[in-house]
Amino acid sequence: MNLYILVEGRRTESIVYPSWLGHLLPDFKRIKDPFILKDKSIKGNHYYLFDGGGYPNMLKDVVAGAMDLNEIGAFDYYIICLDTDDEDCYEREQAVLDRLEESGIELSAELVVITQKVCIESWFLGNRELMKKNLRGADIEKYINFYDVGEKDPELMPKPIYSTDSIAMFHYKYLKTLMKKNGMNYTKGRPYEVCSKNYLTELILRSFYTGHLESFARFVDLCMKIKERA
Amino acid sequence: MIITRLEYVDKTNKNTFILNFNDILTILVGVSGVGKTRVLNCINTMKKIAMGDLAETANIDWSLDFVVDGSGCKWSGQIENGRIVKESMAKGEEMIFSRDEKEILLEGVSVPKVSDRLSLLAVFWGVGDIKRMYEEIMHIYFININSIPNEVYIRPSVARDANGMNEESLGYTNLSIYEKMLVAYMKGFDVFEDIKDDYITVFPMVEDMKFDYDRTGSDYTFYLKEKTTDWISYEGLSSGMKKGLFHIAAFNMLPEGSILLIDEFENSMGTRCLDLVLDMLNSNERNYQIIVTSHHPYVINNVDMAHWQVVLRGGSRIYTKGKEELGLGRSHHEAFKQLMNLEEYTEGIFD
Repeated sequence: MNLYILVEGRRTESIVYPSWLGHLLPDFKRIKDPFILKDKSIKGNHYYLFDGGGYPNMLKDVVAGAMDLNEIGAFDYYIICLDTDDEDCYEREQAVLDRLEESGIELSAELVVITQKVCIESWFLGNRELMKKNLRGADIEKYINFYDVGEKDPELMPKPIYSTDSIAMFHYKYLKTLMKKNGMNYTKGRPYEVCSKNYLTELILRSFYTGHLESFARFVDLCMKIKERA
Repeated sequence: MIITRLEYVDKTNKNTFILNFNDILTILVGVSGVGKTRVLNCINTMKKIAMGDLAETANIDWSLDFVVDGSGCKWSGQIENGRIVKESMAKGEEMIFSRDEKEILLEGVSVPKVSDRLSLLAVFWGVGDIKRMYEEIMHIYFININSIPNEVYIRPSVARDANGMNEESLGYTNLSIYEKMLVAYMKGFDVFEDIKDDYITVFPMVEDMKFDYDRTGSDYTFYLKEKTTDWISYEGLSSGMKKGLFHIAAFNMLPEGSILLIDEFENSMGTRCLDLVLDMLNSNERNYQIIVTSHHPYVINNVDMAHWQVVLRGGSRIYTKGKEELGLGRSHHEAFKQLMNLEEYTEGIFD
């Protein structure tokens, strides 16, 4: 089975997804050149990951990726992962579907759009282990007092009225501050702390026991479905 | 002259460069710090060696493959502590010259020893095939941020001494770019108007340009006039305008067939200027071999992948890979995006 994965990217997703896929789909091998799969003698499970360089820029890649995928003719899934930012999941997913429809392309693979609500950092906020310490300091207390991500679903966190940041930036800053209080360093270009199996497991447990992180759960469910079919 | 390949070993810093170049245009891309500028420096060092400009501490091995008048040539040598211990030049199967510690052969004939601080190109520059090779290597021009002067003051004697020059011979002189422009202006050569037209395309608020005496009345300097201003001297121009002027002038005035090395030419350039310079790169009316470095998506997207060489570093080895080796060009994704998704580009530096 072969997966063509287009991520919103720029940095974080291109690092995190391969790490997480290594834990969730260990039998899948990452390939650097999707065109090698034109050789039908190549067997096994593979995935190719393309960084779309941000939204809405990546919408061009939605079409280009579809064209590549069709030309290669060896992919089972076309998985597109992107943030919702200040839209809801439906709106962002629809933007992708509309772009594909405009192109007139008929996909030769099953399309799945994974919307990261509000952004991928919102998922990372779901790790309750980060909230276990006695977190002190005006910087983190400001965030927790506004919205305690240990208790409430990070995906549903709005931004404060006084914040001039975008909602995604607010989530990112919350995560960065929380990580720092836990002795961890997080940047978009170096998100390595969230790549571990332990971290991923914590997010899965959060989702399973509380029903939070609904968009993250869709990603995990997809991986389980792929694992069964592969 | 077209450089096709350079192997260059910097024995002091223990770096080895293995570099391939496309014939007319090469755009060197790669992650920051990988060594793109150093690649240009290596090529420029070839000119320095040919001129006899060796640093006393130079410890270099080199092998330069190039084509002159349709013939493949190889110039190689070894320098230790600023002294050339080995050197050879071959044209096809024919050995033009060779030297080692025992003797120097010129077209197969033993000749008296010469200073080991001078390349045999510098010594025999006027002899037979060597003359052509020497002249071609002298037409390597390295354009970087340091090339662009902050001020332009030219002695009037430059214009006076140009009496016998015509438009073609002007390009081949050793005058600086702005000195050539002065001569072109004074003599009413078409190339000055060409430069002006190109410049106005990029900076449409400019109406005219000229050379005239500076404030002191002793030297010439460059002036331009915008539609809403009086004449502005060169010193008063923005860095972008100076850079645009320099590049446009260089593309119009350097000798035909020269090798232009341009380091990150997109810096300080707006999109209009970039567009013009890209047009010049792609149309290449003066048959230059152009080797540029760039980070800019706009530039990279507007230069055919066939001209790309991705610079990579593995330990102390710096090398290039082209489109075919990297499997580029098959995808429908935009060119720059394909590049950004190459491990060779994003990682670039391997242990």
